[in-house]
Amino acid sequence: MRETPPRYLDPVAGLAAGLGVLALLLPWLELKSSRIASGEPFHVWDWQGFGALALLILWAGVARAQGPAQVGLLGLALLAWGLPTGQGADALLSGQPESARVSPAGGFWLTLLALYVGYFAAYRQGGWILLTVPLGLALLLGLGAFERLGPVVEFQSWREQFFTELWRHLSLSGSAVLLAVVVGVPLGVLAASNPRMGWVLGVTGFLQTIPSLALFGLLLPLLAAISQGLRLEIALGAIVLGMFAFRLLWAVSGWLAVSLALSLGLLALAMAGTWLNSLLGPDPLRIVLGAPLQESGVRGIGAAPAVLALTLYGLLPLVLNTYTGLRGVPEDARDAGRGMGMSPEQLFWRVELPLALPLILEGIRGAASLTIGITTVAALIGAGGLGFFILRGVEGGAPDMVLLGVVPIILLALLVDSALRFAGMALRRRVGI
Amino acid sequence: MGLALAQKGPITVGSKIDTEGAVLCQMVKILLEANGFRVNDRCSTGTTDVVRKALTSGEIDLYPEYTGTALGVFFKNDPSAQAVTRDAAKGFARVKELDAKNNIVWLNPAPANNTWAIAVSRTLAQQNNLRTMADFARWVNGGAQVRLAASQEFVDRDDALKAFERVYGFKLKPEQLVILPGGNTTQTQQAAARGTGGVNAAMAYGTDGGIAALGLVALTDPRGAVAVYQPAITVRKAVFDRFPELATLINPVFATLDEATLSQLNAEVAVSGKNPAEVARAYLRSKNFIR
Amino acid sequence: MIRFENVVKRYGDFEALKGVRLEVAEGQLVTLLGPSGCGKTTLLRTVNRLIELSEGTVFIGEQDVRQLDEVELRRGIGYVIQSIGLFPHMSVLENVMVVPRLLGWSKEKREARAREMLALVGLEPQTFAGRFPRELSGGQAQRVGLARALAADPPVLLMDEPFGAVDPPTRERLQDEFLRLQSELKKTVLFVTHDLEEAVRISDRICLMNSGRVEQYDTPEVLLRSPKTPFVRDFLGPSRTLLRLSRIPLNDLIEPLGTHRPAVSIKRLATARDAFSLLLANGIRSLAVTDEGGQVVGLVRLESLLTAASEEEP
Repeated sequence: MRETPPRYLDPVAGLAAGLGVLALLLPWLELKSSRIASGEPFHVWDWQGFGALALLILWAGVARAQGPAQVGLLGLALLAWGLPTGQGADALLSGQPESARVSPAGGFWLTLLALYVGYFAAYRQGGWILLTVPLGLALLLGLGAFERLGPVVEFQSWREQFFTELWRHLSLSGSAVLLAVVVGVPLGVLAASNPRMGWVLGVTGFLQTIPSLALFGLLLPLLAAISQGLRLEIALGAIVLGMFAFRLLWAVSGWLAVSLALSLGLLALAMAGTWLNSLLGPDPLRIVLGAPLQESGVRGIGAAPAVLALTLYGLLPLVLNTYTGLRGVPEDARDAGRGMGMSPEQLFWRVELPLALPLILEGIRGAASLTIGITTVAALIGAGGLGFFILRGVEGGAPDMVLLGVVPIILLALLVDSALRFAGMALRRRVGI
Repeated sequence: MGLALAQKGPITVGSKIDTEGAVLCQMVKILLEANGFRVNDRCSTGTTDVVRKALTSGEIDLYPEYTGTALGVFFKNDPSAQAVTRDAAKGFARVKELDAKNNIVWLNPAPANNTWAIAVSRTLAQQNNLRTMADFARWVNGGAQVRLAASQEFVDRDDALKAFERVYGFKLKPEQLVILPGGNTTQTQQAAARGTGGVNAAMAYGTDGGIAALGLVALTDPRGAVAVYQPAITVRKAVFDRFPELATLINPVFATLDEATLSQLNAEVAVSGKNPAEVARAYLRSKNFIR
Repeated sequence: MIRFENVVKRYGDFEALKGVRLEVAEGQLVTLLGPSGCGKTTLLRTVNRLIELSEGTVFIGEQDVRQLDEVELRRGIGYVIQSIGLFPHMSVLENVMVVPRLLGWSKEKREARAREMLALVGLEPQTFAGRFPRELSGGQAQRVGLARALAADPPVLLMDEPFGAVDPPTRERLQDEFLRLQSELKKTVLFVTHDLEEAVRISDRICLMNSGRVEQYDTPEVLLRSPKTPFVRDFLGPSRTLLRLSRIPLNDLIEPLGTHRPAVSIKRLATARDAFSLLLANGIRSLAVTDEGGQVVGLVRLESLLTAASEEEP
């Protein structure tokens, strides 16, 4: 007599199904006479009953199924989410003036959340299932399911600018993260090796607490004053001299040396950030000797304060993780290394740093997602980026345009986070932690 | 001189983040490109002070600014500026003179007066026979249930709501006002269109593109109560000296931009969702400024 | 080979080493033995300058260790610690190759030597070269630690409780293998332990320490038979006699077979202590001794054992 397996309801899958069914009750799409007008809500059964029924059955299945069956049902639910949306948009827009728009509403978004939760539940069956997501989405995009939705229509209008701002967003974030690594990792090493440098952690932590807009606001007039008054050669000279003078000053007075290092360091960061961003981004790189810094792109608005602020925000995760990573190196490995005749440098490069690397990578991951989010604000001070669409959308009263900015930022952050998380896991396995 | 292959410039154009700024900026960009200039597109640079700072610091070379804004904000402490805000010709002459000291050159303004206005729903206007601000005053004084959505600036400034009230003889009580921080006319108009919070009147600008699309109508100001806001291109002196042809190219185009035209262009972007560059290009073609 | 002259180590007011004088001959295995806090590890670490002396000198050969660059000094000394300290991010082979790499050997030479060392400590190179420390058992890890210390063929080996972290059967096996290795390699070894049995089992000489001083420095037999101070006597404890017996090979006590053959037999290679245990266990007075093939070659009597165990001069 075969034993029937016990009735099994995974609470996470149940939650997903519950959300999915709830979503069917909410309005799915909104029809507006223009992109700034208010919308009339429509439910998923208003244009075609089949979609609602299909989703209902599929969600019931997802809650009960396990393994490949559950994954298959989720894939079908993904399609059942996208295809009726496309059909609904077509149906609602037929006979409407050209300015009319259809936007996704609560039910659409809640179903997306339900799918996310469902995939999270099914993920435990095996990582390969994640392949069905890009496949399903590719199929939906190929069939043009989302083509007539408001945000996509906005995208068609703004195609070229979108890619330019996307490029700017990436170059702003990328420059900031790069600089944060270049500055933060050595700072973390310093803090870990020298107990007197513990205050570094405190300072970078403090930086993080400053609200982003406030930090931008503080930096704007400061950079404006410096960039107008200071000439490029003098700035470079001051930085080089400062590096030499630091050693001497450190012997005389710790405070003086640190103040010098901080001010010149910030100046160097601002310059490096501006030029790195110009190299990586769509805006041209201009270096003009014999003229104030502002001719060379370092100004009180635009990329200079943006990248500088973003770098400062990215410092904490990197400094802290480097510090913790180095502290976490097993003491017996250090003892053995020293006892075998490794010089301090060799010990650092061959033992401590490789062992701290997974945690440092975690820090980079944290800094990257953080930075991509905060870069949104950069558009406010003329640096560009995807925040531009959010600002224009809000200013123009067009939620579709706001979505055009928001969705790519979220996707970017998710993508970068996942990629680095994956890299981090691979590294951990290699390093044996 | 005579280098046929070389493009002139580059010139960096910027603007404020609003729709009209974007349209004007693109118009100038496309016009200059068609006339042999290499142009860097920094349109929709930021808010008013960000753009102005961008201009003065050299991040951008030109952007469209309003005569009224310059007089009222940049030179707000200058009494000679305040005295001429409601006179188009005198106001422009004064602002050109004052900004020359900042090494900023003002090209000729467009005739469109993108000034303060009050808009009400079309049905309300029809019901109560509202066409001008005098009608509005009559209606308010007659005990109407009016709620006006406006920005703090509109309510506080001497040459905005207070000017209307002074010239047309009415007074709005505090409970008849809904203040929206930041003062975005799309938001005020959306509020009036939807009746959010009982709002049935909205602060508007003369060339707003969304008014008609939201079912509103702007009341006219026959007595000229409020300041004049004409858009004009402001250029860095250093750039203008290098390329004085900027004036000969841009002035004729701006001369064709009256309120009706500008509203129409704005509507195509704000309401129909077209790309400002496309709208600008189509306009320039239709007027034979470019091929 | 290693000579300590009036070595003093102070930490503030506390004297961890109070004027130690000691000489370790070349090729000998000397154990530093004593209770916790007696200074044995401190003394060990003065040899490779992981601890710097307050006073006195340490010589290796004729060289004052302070005359050499400390990093170079350490590369010429094998160092094995209890927690082993294998580098988790390197494979077993890479771990063993560390010092040769520091010394600049070529890749081929390094790898060949590393494999040789693994084989020497009883780890099949084919199997173990590519493994990582987390995949090893305690005993295997300790062997790798040893292989790593021997890789550059240092004349001196410093070992700090190297077999302490494994279970007793593994520990015995490791000790035996190490003894076998030592008889082949004849390194000068300074070995720290708190385990008396271990010290007695493997040492050529034992240096018993207490509170930073050397209490007694002798071969295990002499130490066990003639403790010099009350501390030593206490430390050795009442079972020192049995320990002494463990150092006496049975061969010395075999007598020819008499009229009758004892019922219980014991292998010739066993120790006197093993014989004694067997006699006690069976309640008898003599044992037959067999050789490797199982042939009886003689017998051993309880009386002989008692004489051997007695501390009186024969």
